[in-house]
Amino acid sequence: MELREEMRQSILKRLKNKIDPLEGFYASPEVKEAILAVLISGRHLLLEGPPGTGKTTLAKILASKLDAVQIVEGCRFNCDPVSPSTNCPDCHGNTQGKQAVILSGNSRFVRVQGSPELMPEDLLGDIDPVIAMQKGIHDPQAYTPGSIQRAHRKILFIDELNRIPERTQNTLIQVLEERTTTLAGFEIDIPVDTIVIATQNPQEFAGVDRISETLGDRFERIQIGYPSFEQEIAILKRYAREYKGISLGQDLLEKVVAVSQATRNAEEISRPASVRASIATYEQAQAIAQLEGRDCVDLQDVRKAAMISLRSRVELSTFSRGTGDGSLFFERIIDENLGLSEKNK
Amino acid sequence: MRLYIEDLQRAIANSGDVSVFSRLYHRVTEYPQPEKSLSFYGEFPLVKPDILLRDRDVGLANILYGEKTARIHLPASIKLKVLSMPLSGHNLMSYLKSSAERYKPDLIALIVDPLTMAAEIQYAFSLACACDFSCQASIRERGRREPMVKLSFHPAGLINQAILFGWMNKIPVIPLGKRPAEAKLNFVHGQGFIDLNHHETINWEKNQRQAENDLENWLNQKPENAPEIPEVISRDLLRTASESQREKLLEESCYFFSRLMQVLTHENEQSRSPKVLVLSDLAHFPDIKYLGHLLEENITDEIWRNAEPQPDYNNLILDVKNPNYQIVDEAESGSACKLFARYFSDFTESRLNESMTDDEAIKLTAQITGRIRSHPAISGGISVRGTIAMIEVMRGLAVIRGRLNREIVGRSAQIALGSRLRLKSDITDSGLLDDILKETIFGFTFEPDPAQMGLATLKQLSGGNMLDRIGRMGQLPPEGNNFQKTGFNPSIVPSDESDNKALIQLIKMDLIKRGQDGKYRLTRKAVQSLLDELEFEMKSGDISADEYHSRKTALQNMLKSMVQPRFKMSSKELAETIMELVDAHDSQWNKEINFQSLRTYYHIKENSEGSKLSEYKRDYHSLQKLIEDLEKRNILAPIGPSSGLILTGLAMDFLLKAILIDTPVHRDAHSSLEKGQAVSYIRSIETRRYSSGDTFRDIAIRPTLREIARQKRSLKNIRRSDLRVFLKQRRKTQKDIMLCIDTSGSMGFHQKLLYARLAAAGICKAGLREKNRVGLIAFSDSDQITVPLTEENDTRFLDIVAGLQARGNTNIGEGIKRSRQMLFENRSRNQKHLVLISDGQPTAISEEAYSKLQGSPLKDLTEEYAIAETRLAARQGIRLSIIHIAGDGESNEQFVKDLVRCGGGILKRIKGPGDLKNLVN
Repeated sequence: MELREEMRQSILKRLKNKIDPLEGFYASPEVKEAILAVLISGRHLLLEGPPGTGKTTLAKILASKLDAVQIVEGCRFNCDPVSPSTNCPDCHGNTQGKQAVILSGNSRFVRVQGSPELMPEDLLGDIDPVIAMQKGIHDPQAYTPGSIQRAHRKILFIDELNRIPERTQNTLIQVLEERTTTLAGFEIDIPVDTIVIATQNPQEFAGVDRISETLGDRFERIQIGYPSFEQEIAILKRYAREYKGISLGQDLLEKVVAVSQATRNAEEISRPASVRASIATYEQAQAIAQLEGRDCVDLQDVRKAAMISLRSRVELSTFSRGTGDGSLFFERIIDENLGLSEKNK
Repeated sequence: MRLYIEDLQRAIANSGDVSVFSRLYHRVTEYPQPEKSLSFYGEFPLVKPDILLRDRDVGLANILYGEKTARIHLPASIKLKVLSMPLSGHNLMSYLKSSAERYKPDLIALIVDPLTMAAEIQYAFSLACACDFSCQASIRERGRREPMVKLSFHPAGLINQAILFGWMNKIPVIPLGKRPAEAKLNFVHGQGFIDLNHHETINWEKNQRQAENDLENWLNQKPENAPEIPEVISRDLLRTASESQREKLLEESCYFFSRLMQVLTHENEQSRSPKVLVLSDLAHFPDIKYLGHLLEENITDEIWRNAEPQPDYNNLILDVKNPNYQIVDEAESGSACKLFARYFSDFTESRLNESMTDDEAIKLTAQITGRIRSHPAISGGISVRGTIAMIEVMRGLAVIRGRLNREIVGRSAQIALGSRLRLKSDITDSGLLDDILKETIFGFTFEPDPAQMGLATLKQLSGGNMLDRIGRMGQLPPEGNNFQKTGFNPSIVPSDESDNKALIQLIKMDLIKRGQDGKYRLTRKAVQSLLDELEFEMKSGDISADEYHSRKTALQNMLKSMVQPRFKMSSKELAETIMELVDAHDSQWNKEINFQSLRTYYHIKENSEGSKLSEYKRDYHSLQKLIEDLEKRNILAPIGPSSGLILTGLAMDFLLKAILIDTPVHRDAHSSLEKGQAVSYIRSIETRRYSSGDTFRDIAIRPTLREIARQKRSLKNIRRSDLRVFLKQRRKTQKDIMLCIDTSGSMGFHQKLLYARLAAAGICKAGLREKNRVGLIAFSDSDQITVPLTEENDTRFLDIVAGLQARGNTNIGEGIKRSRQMLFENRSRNQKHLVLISDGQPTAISEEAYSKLQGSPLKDLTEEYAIAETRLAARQGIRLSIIHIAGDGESNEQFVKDLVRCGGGILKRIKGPGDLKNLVN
């Protein structure tokens, strides 16, 4: 079964049983629905949003919902033992004498970290020079598959697509539309049945390239924003670590989130706190309480933790940066949201 | 993609025409149908809005006027209640409601003539009213251009509100007579209702007070059941009043009552006497309360003699204002709007949720993508792949939701198409896709046909007067001068205040433009609109064919003269001209270039310097034309309110190009390749060991084989460590370049500033091309112009560079200091360069620096300060290079050399155009 069909079935099955197919990913119902619609339609997904909005989490969740499949042992291209591709350099459509290996759903996930140094060869594979010299350049064994080939029958997750130089981006074009790759120099087409889930940071962030129009046209772009207050609380409850023996009350949890949320609305801030900042505050507050030998986190702990996590993450805009390192500003925004500002006065 | 009232308002405002929406409106308002049986009598059924829309002209008026009011039955008695109302106000509805609750009328009578009422009904059910827009309209007979009646409507108007009130409460509304307010309703045309609203409120209060007093007086005087005509309005008084006054009063009153009687004596099957609520405006119809008496005395015999059995006047209730009625301002404000909004949201909802088949959805998809491709604001349409994606996403959504409707189509368009839209560069509207979806799903258009749009907006302006004037000006033979040809674009001089307002609006609409002589001229757009207008007039038969042709030729000539530049100059000539302009600009130390200064400049050039000038620079008129021409080519741009001009970046660009083309190509670069030295070049390239991650194509075969040979190994046994790969050239890092241009007075001589400008422009262009960040600072002691570091396009730079002026003293130290600050303004680890373009004659020093350096043993503090600043900059990692602009031996060489030594950069000297060429290359 094709991966897109598998994905479709898996989502529909869950929808039918009234289970959230994106369980563990928190976003508005509209965004979730849009993501599901794109996946059901079997198209590739490009998630756009600031860092720390659960883009990677989403891709992992999707992979984990896939069923386990069998692959031919030793085949670097994950061929299906039932119908191996005749073009595959490793099995040549011949599975005799080869065992089938189970590939679990969780491992059906290939991750590519986008960076300006990523070369086309990293994605498309390259000729291994040593083997090529030993066995001859025409031996398919001399060919090392790249991330794209390894993603056959898996989800290909490309993080920060727009940090990849355009030359490397272009290698994706064929696989996205035709679902095959042509091995350079061998002139054989290898099927790559994959769903690409890519992420990109918005244009404002530093060090990003733009995605070429031809590539962008092959993706469905969905914007993911910061989670809402309730969603963020749910995220903290689910993903943040909890220290044993340390309790952090619901009201403090809400305040942790309130501080992060406040940075997202403040005009003075050019890069607000991500969900990771909330998680960090949450964990650090517990750590501080533990250090001081208490078993209960209090407001001051949250305040200290928020100072630490905000100051290293949040970036002030050019206009407000003039006033020192901004710690005064952080103090104000933290105190306001922790309800401390009145007390100090 | 829900449609909101605001969207409709926007669309109406954009197009200025409600009919854009008539189809949509028809669908919306079809929903609530007034029942026919509720009508008081057959001849005045409540008219369905769609009929109103269908008979947009006088059809409806005819229905209301009609001779269908023939059959008559005589009622036993009629109960009348006359309410005085203001002409407009948002609380009218609540007032009406409370009155109606109390009185429970069978009929509402409006003192308005049927024709106006017909128009008011049209308006009341129109989208404009529903969207809270006031309107002006005219009713004209078919085939005639002159309007019969001109009317203004307001959503909170009395008649309008009464109509809607009647409709909503199922009470018939009839027109009784001439609209009493006609005289005072003379709303200041062109200003609309908003101001008047205020007026009317005051009027209302006044009226009510007056009416109250009247009522009280009357009741006090005559408590008995025997009404008596007060003296003031007695027959005698009427007689004593001036003839015309009396007649008018009588006529109005009698008409009103005769009409009322006529209507009320029509067939009425109810046994009880009908109750009638009469709405009038006391201010304009003050004597209504005496009408009964007047009628009783048979003054109006001849007018209503037909109404045989006389109604029971004793029941005529005069209740102007009951203190029990609370007039609450917000209560029912804009109830028409609310009503419409309700229907409208129902409609939107049902339209969006109406289920559709896959085929229909695909058709809608095609419509959406088609609309996107043809939309004027979108540069790149949607690819077919995008359309396919949208359909697939749509089907996915349909599976999730288990149904397919327009909302899903819209949502899938948002998902799939949103990121694929490429807007034109000058458009930032992010709501564009939503607009397009609304347009397609609901079937209307936000953006009217541009051709019509131009006409509509032109016509709207001061009732087309301005347009007429402009149009006529277009044909006027221009005042006596050399250009007696028709191609002359006449200037427009506003004659009074109102014209001025119109002018500002016209300028905003890009229809006229201020020329360099301070006069206004039509733009191409305007002339094209005028041509369209002319075409329209011709078609409607307003003008004769001859007139059409003559005017058309004139306009076409005008257009032609606007499009074509008059001078054909070679690029060399143009470059020379620009050089001269720059020279003129600098040498006269003028802020601007204008005709006078240029004329003087050329005069001097010709006579005292003996240069040979081309024909058009000598002649008075052609020089004028030349300047206009340069302005048209964007080489000169008007500045500020004065008539002066300034060089633009385009001029600089042009000059640079001209210089570069002149320069012979550097041969050296090619020669090495030709001689076959390229091989040796490659041979000498460095290689390194293979490490994982290196690509196959980077492997240097020759060094690898050499390595294998050296190790005396066979190919079978090679290891990774034997492989050699090319050392890649490191990427060029971004540099921050700050140009520091000396614009002191000394730069004004010997075309120094011109060279400085060109050097700056060249560096800036080259720097930006190589993706460096470039900033600029132009300094003298009197003023500074700064451009912070940027990597964006160079037009702004060139504009600024072109507009530099030489004045003041040289404070190099301060310039370097400021540049240093700007280089460190935003943190980056880029290499920092400072390029000082100067003639190297510092003459000034800032006070602060002076006090600091006072103890210095050196004589020249200005130089010392500059060197100190340079040292400081060098310590912070800024490399200072100098482009020294100086003739032979005229300048302070040593100082410049010192400065460069401290700054650690390079020194280039520019003595003339030749040096400049080398530098720019």
